[in-house]
Amino acid sequence: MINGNLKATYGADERVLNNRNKQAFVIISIALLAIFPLFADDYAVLMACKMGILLIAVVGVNVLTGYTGLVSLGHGAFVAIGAYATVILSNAFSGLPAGILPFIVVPLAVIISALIGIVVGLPSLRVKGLYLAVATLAASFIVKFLIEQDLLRIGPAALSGSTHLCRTC
Amino acid sequence: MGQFIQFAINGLMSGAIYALIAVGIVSVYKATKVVNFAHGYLIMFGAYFYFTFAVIIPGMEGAPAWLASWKPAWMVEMREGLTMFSPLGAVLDWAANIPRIVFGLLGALFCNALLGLLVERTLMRPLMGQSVFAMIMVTVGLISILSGAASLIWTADAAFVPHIAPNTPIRFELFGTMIFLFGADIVNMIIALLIFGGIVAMVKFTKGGVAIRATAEDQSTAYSMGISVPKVFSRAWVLACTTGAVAGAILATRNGISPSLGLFGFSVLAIVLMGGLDSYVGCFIAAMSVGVLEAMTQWKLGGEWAEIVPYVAVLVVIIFRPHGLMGQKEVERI
Repeated sequence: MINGNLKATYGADERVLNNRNKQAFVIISIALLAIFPLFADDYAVLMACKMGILLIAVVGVNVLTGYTGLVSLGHGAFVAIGAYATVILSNAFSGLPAGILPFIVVPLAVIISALIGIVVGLPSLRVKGLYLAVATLAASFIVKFLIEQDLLRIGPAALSGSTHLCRTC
Repeated sequence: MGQFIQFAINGLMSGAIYALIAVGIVSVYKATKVVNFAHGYLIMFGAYFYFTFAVIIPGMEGAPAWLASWKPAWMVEMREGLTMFSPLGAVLDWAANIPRIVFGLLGALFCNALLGLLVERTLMRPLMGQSVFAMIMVTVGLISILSGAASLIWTADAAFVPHIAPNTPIRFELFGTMIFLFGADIVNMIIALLIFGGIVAMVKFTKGGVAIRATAEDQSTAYSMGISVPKVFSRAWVLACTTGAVAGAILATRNGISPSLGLFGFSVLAIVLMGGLDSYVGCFIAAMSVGVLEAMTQWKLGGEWAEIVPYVAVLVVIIFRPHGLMGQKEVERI
């Protein structure tokens, strides 16, 4: 009789989908998602997109808080930074054809967000727990404030979408 | 120089109110080790209760006339022949409001105490003995519940409430410049400082205060020494909510009442962290210095930059002193 999870190899230990149920769940959901646009209306597709976007944001918090134990309450700030960087860069590179624009702009936005993340993460070298939580909260309020000041003059078209994302995360 | 003194005094007055709000967060933290992220929203409820008892109920049909506006014969007599904007007129205006101010404050204190008991009983007590992190996350969830409930009950419109003290303008000369203050602001500051001092003295000297400190030190030992830890918990929450009610009433008279009052709690949380979570003195210093810094920023950079002052200040302080100005260092065994 086998009790618990017995693993003989490192490969088995590192597998994410380590049993049949998980594998079936993932395969079936991928299949469902693939045929989803065929029968869903526009609103449902929009909702699914938003869910996917939030999922990307939440995975980051999961790694940060769940795996390393650094509580971050200011994650929305990075979502906003990414959004704004994308808009600013798209305006800057607007001469490029629309087909390849995202493939240049989005990685650059990721790099910008990561660089700011290093600055915001500096306190985490010294502080942890609640003090870090409030430090990240403070950083996110500062970022939100700087965005609202509109220092780069990107205008109201860019201002519409991303501030409410700051609040949801 | 004169401008500087004027803004420094303004800063000290708002700093005193920050200190009054901070005392609620520190008290709950000291007793229960829970950092109350929802404290700003409890304050907002206090402000709305003050609004209910001081404005809505006296304005309803069937409420006695003296509650809305108290006008005995001698006051009407004194009022005659007064010029516009005379100091005595402002005092008389306030005197006519006394019944509803008192009614409003008492109602706000009572209802907020009940709210604190409710929160402690239904949300915090079942989590006793669980990880503190879970309790803190519950207070984060409480933010949504409270702000939603407030806009359901009172609607999200901004409104105004009567001042707690006569709002006479006061002018005097200091070092060759005119200083201009409002009477109500000074009384607010005095109330805030008195309550702050009273609570610090209570925690230091009374039996209940000793119980709070003992529980903060070590819960299970306090239990075995005959201290009722659940009672200490509920007492701390009630204390936080009643001071919050007073702070909310003061804030409502200063800026009017609206759901955005709750956001105040976050800047005060930053102040508390800056001073050190478990130190009343540190929080007092932090609150006063943030108040003054805010006023200076308002003077030099404009009003909107003032709102991020607490956050910048807490980041700077935390980088150099990870446990706040006077917070106790946690000793950990790895």
